[in-house]
Amino acid sequence: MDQTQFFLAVFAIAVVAGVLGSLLGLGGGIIVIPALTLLLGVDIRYAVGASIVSVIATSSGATTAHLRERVANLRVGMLLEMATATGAVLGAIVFAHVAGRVLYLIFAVVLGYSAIAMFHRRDADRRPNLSNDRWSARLQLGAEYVDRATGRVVKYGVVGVPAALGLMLVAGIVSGLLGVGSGALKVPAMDLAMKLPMKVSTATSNFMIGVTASAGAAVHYSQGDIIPVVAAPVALGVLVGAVGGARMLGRVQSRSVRTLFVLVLVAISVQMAAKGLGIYA
Amino acid sequence: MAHAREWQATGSPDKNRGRAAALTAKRSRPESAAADQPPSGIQLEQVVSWVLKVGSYLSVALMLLGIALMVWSSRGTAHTVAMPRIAGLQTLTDTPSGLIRGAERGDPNTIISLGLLALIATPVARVASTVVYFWWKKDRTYLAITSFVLLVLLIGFAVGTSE
Repeated sequence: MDQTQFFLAVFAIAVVAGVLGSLLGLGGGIIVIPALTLLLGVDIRYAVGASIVSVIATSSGATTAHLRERVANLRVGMLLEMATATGAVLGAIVFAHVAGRVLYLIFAVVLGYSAIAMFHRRDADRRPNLSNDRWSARLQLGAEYVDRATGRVVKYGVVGVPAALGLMLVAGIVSGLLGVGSGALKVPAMDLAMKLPMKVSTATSNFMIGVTASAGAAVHYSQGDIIPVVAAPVALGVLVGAVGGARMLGRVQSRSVRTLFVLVLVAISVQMAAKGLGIYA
Repeated sequence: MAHAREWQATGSPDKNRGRAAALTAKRSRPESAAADQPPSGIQLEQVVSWVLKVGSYLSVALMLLGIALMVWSSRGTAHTVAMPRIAGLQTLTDTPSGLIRGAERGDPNTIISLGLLALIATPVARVASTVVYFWWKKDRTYLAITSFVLLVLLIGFAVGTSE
């Protein structure tokens, strides 16, 4: 494989990762890392470096598209970033030496539980929650967006702000520790604790993941894990895919987004369980 | 979750519904008006969107330029992508002085790296822009929230890259 072919292959993989990531509020690492290492034989170190770049590219690309349709709730995102950013820094600094295996297993169980709980809320997309808790009222978190799939304006309230902040802190610590699950934990937290509409959860997750990833990316860059020939085609492909995926999000039914998210969550849960049990590196 | 129920239990259901409705009405009126006619004053969404677009376009331009130079300079040689060799090049691009020297020489790897750094810096610039926005709007609550995030981010950068 010559250089041009390598660039094109990485670019194609990244477009797919960008579409899926921006549709579901994930960073795209679940596609980028296995595809680069298993299909193209890239060193795991550089694949991880490229995947953290893909998280930022997904965030920037998807958010610019989401803002036009006002699906992402910026106030909710900015509030929760306090917890995710703090968690990520704590996870990276304080808990850097905690043994990984048990963590992967715990993470697998939490994701499995989230998948089941989110599946149970599949009818919630028809009747959005309209009440606001005390925090949400004070911080003006309730909002509305135009659902392109139904053509209706969806008004919604936000509840469970303290619970969501707590979950986001944990999500931040876990992603700082394991370098995974930037969106896989954020979307369930917004869905289950805050009762946000599904599309708002994934779009807001996309808005937030770039911030948590940027500090991590700086660390990886200074360690030399982010190399131009791998990271650049990943970034370009993900940006293109993320803009496309965000446009798609508007037109897809909320229920379909939820179903797809639950399936991906189960897949990540299985992958993490395999890591925890030492079956898959 | 428990919090919400607690709060709802303290007031009568009707009173709560009234408050929630009043809140949504208060929030939605300026937004639905904004959809009908051009909004007065700069909106938060516009600021965020503008910063993200500038960051993304800048990084895309630099990365495309670098890749074009790289493909151009290696034309006809048909060499394979060898990871250890590439890792060696990285020493040039992981220090500020190395980046400057590389950029002066028009080194493709350096130009791509600058694009990647622009991409990495974009979320930080976005948070900083919201700090300025809320300071300008005199919204103390969100000024505090966004300043906190910026501070934590900068601590993360400082501690992470010093190790």
